[in-house]
Amino acid sequence: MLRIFYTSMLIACMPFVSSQAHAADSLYRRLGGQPVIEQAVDRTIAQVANDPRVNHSFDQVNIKRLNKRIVEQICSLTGGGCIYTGDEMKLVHQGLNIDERAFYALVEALRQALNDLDVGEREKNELLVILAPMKRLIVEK
Amino acid sequence: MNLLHTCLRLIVAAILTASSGIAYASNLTVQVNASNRAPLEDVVVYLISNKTTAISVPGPRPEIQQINKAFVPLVSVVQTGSLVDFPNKDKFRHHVYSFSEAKKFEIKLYADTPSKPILFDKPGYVVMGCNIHDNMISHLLIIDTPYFAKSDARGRAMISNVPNGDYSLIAWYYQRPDKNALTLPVSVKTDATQMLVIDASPGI
Repeated sequence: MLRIFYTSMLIACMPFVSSQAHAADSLYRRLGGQPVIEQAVDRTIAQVANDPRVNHSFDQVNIKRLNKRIVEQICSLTGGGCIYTGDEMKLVHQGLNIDERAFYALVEALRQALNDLDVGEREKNELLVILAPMKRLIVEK
Repeated sequence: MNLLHTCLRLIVAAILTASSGIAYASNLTVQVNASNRAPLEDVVVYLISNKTTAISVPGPRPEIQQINKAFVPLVSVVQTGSLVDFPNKDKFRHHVYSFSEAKKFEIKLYADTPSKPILFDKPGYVVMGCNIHDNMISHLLIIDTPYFAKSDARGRAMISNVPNGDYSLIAWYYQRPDKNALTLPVSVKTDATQMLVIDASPGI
């Protein structure tokens, strides 16, 4: 009985152990940490805010808050240890009529920003792979 | 004949008693203009008096809507103790909040009409915003009297059905929310119009 307990404890704790082991080499670190993520988000949003395919979604939006939440979420998803304090992706995008074109325009802007910030090809792709599944929560038509 | 006479007397007596029991009420129209004489919209005017107690008048529940990323109306006035609905008429969500002393509240990211209205149980001034949309702002004045109105585009505000008597007429303008724009003694006797000129420049 005790052995089962220890075994289950061990299994339960494994994800924490492994994520701790990876923390030193987290995508967050390899991207360049907070400064690079903040820069990338700032540049991406500034870019799409002037893009007629996308900017209607950002009309009158509190950009400062938006940027903070995106940085938080990327930090959280890449192992930077942040807690995302924003709302569910589906809820925040619902009703904004975001189409595929707008979604890919933002992806493109992000890719460009990451290039400009000298983020490596591998890191860039890893980040885009993490963010890609959000498409079904964001795009409505 | 005698019976008819008695009946008539009774009817007259009843009318006299009834009318002496009625407190006459009047409508006070307030014409609000700025110092430059232009009519001033969205000025709240209200009457207070130490003789009348503010009795809540039941009516439709006030609403502050969200339409096209704006609060409608921009300026509202309610009596203390009022419940207010915040229906969202946009297709996307809003997130309304207030940090004001008179009422701190938050309605987190919602579509349609939130199931619970907000209770404004203290008199004062509440300014509301939206977490998502920077420019959205709404002003709400909560007062201890049922006798209030808000000026329209022509600067006209009608406070209706006011029991005749002496009052203080107070004007409040959201551009200068921290103090009353004007306080004036008025005597309500019959339907009348009161002119007000207030300094509409923003700031203290």
